[in-house]
Amino acid sequence: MLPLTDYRFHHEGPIDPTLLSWIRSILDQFFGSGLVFVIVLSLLISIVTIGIIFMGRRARIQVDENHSE
Amino acid sequence: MGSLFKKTSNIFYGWYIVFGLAFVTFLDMGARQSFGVFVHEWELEFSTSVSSISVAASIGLVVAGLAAPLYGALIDRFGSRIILLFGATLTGFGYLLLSMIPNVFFLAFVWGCIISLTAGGISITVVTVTIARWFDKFRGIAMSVLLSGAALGGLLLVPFSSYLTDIIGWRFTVVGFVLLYGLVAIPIIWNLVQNSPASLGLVPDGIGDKDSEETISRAMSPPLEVKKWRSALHSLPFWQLSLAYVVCGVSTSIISVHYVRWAISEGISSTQGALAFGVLAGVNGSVLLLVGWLSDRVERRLLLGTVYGIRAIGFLCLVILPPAWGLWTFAIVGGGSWLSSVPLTSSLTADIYGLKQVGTLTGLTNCAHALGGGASVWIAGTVFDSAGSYDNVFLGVVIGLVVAMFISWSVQERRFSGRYQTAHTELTGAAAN
Repeated sequence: MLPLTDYRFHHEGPIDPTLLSWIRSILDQFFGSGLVFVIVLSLLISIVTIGIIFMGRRARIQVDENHSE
Repeated sequence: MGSLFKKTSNIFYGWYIVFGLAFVTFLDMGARQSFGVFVHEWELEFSTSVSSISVAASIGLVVAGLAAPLYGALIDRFGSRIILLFGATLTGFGYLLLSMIPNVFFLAFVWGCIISLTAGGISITVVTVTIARWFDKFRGIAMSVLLSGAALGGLLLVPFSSYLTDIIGWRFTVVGFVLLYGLVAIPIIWNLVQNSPASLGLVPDGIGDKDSEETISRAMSPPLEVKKWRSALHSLPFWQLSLAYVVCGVSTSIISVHYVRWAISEGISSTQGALAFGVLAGVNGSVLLLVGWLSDRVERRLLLGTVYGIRAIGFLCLVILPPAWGLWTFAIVGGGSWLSSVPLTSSLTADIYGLKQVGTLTGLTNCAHALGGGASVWIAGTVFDSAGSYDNVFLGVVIGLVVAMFISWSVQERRFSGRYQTAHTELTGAAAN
């Protein structure tokens, strides 16, 4: 099992270390620093979460209203 | 597109679940794939070897694969909402434990056993089965949108984890995952996910008056619908789909691990190999949506066989073309067929065997996919180490994919799928009238 994971865990999923460095170099150029990327992505995750929950709850209330009519 | 909506201003509730679960899958896959980011940190902090850390990943792969049918059975029994909540909560707890591990033995236990087992509750098996119950006519595109979240998770959250580790260290980065599960995944599941459209008085796809409700109920009772999952083992389509899916696992696992390594062995720089893999991942996301859209319009078995056939051509290119050409041809051709087999196989399983035991059956096929993939990665590595070339491995995969293509094409979808039973019934009825 060791040879399997020796290859595998370095490359778990579609990201391998070289690709990761390449993605980071692009993100560095775009965002200036890793910290900015982290803050932007955290904000995006928060906004999307609130948006999905808010819209989903509103849709469910509408479904309930349609159903009661 | 108009029929996607119940009214122009009223989107079918199932689409909120699709987008919610796609986001949860995005976070979950990103967190899991960040394992590789922490390896160097663990190596230094625990004064251990890469091989010792790899034991944790190894245990995790086996546990996750074996847990898939178990979770499938649990969804069939209790519904997906409670399983998803259970999975997200315990996985968050698992990451909290991971942030406190003192040595590599605890890593093997926490990652390999706890996280890999609990994360099965929010795995691809569970989310695809949840969506299968909400959609019938648009099942293919709904599953593709869902899986695009998984594709994006690795690309965005792994660099996120990597940066965060540089800034606050690996332990606090892992605590960040706990927050993602606690503040994002659990609230989304809690607020949005329902077991089935019936629980809200809706019908699958949201197309519902009395007549279409009857249509849908006919569509959900295909001839091979099973009340016990074991009954499916006595029918041909289950074995056809599973065998082809094992080949799928073999081919994708080999490429995900050995693609860049193959490029280096052929004299291509690792940067170029990684860049080509990035292109492959990008093409994958776009084609995934296209295949999902198409699969709601044509026979899914034809698309599934074609996906395997195209992937076989991609592997053949790696062997017969000059390395630089093979690298980029595969990135485009292989990328186009990468994840597309997942929504097709999951949808076909639900179409043919109905929804009562679809969780267990999808779990079984995913288990075969994972274990076949894991074993093949090891075999490919061993063959490369002894022969110094991947040619024989790739040719073996080409043969396997061609067999999978013919097996998929031979599935009698029109005879067994609920989609075509409905059409048949309507045609018969129309002819009688």
